[in-house]
Amino acid sequence: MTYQIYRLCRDKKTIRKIKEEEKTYSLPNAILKTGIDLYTFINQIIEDCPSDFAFICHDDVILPETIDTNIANCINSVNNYIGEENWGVVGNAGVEYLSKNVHALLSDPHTKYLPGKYNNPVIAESLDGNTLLLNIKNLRKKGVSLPKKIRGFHLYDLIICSESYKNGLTCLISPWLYVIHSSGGNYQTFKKAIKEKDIQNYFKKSFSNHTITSINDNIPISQDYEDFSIREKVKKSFESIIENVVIDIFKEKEGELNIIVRMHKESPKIIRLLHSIYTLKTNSPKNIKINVILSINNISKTEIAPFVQRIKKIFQTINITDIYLDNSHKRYPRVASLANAVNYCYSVNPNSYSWIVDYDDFVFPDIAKHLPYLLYKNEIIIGNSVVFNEKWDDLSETPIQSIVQEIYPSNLANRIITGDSFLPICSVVYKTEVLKKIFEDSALFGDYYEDYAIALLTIPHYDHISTKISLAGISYHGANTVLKEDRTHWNYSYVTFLSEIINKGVLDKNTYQYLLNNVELSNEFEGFKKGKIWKSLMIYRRIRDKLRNLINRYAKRKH
Amino acid sequence: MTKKEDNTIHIFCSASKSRLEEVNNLLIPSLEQQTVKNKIHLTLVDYTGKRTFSTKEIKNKKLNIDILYPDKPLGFGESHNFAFYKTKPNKYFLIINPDIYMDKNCLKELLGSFTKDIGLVEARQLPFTHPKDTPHKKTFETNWASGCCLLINSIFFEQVHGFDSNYWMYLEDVDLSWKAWINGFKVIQNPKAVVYHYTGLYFRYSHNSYEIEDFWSMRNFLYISYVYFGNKGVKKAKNLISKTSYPEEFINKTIENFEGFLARNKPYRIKIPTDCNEKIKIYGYNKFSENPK
Repeated sequence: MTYQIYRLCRDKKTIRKIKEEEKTYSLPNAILKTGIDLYTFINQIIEDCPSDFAFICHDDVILPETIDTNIANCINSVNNYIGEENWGVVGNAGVEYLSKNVHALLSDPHTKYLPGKYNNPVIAESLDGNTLLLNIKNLRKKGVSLPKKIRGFHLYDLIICSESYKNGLTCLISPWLYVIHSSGGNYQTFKKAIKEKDIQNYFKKSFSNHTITSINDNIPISQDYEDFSIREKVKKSFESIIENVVIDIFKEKEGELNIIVRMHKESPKIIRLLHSIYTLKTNSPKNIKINVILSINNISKTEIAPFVQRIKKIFQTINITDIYLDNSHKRYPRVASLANAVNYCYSVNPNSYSWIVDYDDFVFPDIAKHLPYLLYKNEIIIGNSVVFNEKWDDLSETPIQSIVQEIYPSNLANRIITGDSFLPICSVVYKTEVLKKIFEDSALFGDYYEDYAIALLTIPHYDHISTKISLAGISYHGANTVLKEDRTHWNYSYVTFLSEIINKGVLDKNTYQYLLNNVELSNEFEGFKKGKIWKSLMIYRRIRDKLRNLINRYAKRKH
Repeated sequence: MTKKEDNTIHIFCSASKSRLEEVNNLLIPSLEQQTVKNKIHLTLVDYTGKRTFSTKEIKNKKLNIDILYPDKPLGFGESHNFAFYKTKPNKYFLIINPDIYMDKNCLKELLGSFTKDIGLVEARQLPFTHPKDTPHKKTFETNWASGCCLLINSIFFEQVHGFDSNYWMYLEDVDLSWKAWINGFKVIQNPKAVVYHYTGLYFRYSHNSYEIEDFWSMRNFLYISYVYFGNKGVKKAKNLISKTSYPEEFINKTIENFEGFLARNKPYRIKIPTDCNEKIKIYGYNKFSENPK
């Protein structure tokens, strides 16, 4: 594995400065150029680079002294994750595939927090060009280059990604390319560049989009609307091209998904759920195995067995397993029953995933085609869920009325650290071993707020991935426990879980004190709580890491 | 058996190769489990005009299935007109989307609620119902019926010469419903006839692309406003469109396209009888019933 560093410098003085720094800090020697634009620069590199990989960074990027090892680690981790033949470019910041969340794994004037730990590189729609690692061999093999007509210093990063995807190569974000970028870029010249004729023509010709997302801002594309009157689609959207590449790469990956259905009574509402699971199963690739585990509590096996047999007979193509709680009079039957089901799933396949739903929920089959990607090396998958206000006749298998009441978008998941739950249990798919560990390590005393407790105990500590695609529909139909006015049971469960969470140190003292004492941070935190957060939807883990770092720095300075 | 005695229910579905997986995995299995006693004959129309799939690719155990290949690309309404004139179903027929899963009693319920004075019987879609009024509690009448899963009276369909092909896609079902009311046929929804239609609005990975659907939605809103309410209607439609969140450029280009079509084709107008005034109304942008507000 060989690589070469390239830097395009603003002038000869900067070249001299960088050369000196390379000597002082034992950095690998870069090829330093000046006097050309970034499009020409990158195209020349793709054409002439004698190494397998080219590392390109701006002249105001400060590289870690370990950059040599970091690049090797980056290449290895990306190869391990997606396969060495499947990627074109890696960066340290960009817009995530499927969620459009921004990941900024660097320090620059816009980035307020240090990134947390990432187990896997993140597949990106597009990258920021401060630092790019080009897979020269793959780019040449697939004939990827930047359009010859375009010149300048903007959007080459987005366009090299779109060209990669058009030719079947992915782009990723990796923390191994962490650097400090001294400049935050020039937003005004970016705004000017996106209106340039050649840039607009490029996007118009390539995609059907009227807007392209970039890390800097949305780019409006002046599309020829006449195309829409043509009676067939002539162009694909930017997102669908990316989607096709990712789906194709992961299509062979095997996965097993257990849908754990919590039920405590005989109810025809489960028929709707099983219909939706059937639809999900029929739309899923054959290498994704989908099982249904009925986690039955608060009712005796003798009483409910005939009903279970009936639904098994109706849905013969679905692998349904029924699990009963030994002692239906346990104090916390719902949680105990879930733990049983999770243990069962783990015993069958420790690498499987588990998705907990209630018998009156339903699943959306739209996630089906993404399952091989989502169930690959991720520990937690968070999607949207939709609440429906419904009216049911007790004997009916379908609601009399069903109206959308509200949507829980996956990005609200990060608000769990406020003490409020915005994450219904059916919005999350966990790796079974993650759930097993939670049920083993945590008492989870109480039978309500278990969804919140599980999320708070897991999300800050495990790799998770978000998607804008809906996972589940939730039914509010009057009989839901969530709508009961007397909240005594819930309050006891809530305080019990919170007490456990506090004593387990999920939210540590330093963080809490720091939040209380730092006006700027607590204002941001309030903004975060109200959903008025900056471009990147941070997660608690990242805040905590940054806070720890700041606290340590402050302590050292004081010392 | 004479044609009159034939109890076959004809079902038309406009599809292409890209929808075949849904046809095979959802539509056909759900048709196979219908509790209705009638024979089911499914006619698939390859609307692309390019013969993108064949019978060999259809997974079928119990049904009679035909594929029709028009010699040019057809819109949603045109596809069903094509199937109707080829098949000539004598009493009624059902049109259905390829990504639909029918509840096992759906067809039985739809046929059970049909009488000869009814033009259209609509199934109830779950989980997402159309943004329209709840049908009348006793008569189950509704202003308009969705073409997603719709039982159509053959006599009425022939009388109005089928779907208006100028729509290409979207709102041709509203137009057909209004024609039913005007021609003295009822439009009803049978709430017990349930279909599951999971895809749609809430699942887009990207909301950035104003794709072909948005264009036809807006263009046809202008067209239906013209057909039933004339130039005054178009003026009102433009005003409603201007209040939507679509970019100005998109709106202007769509209006330009519609006006070009109007000048070239001079489409006919339909007079609304006084007794239909309550049924045939525009309440907002692509909103054809008062509720939900």
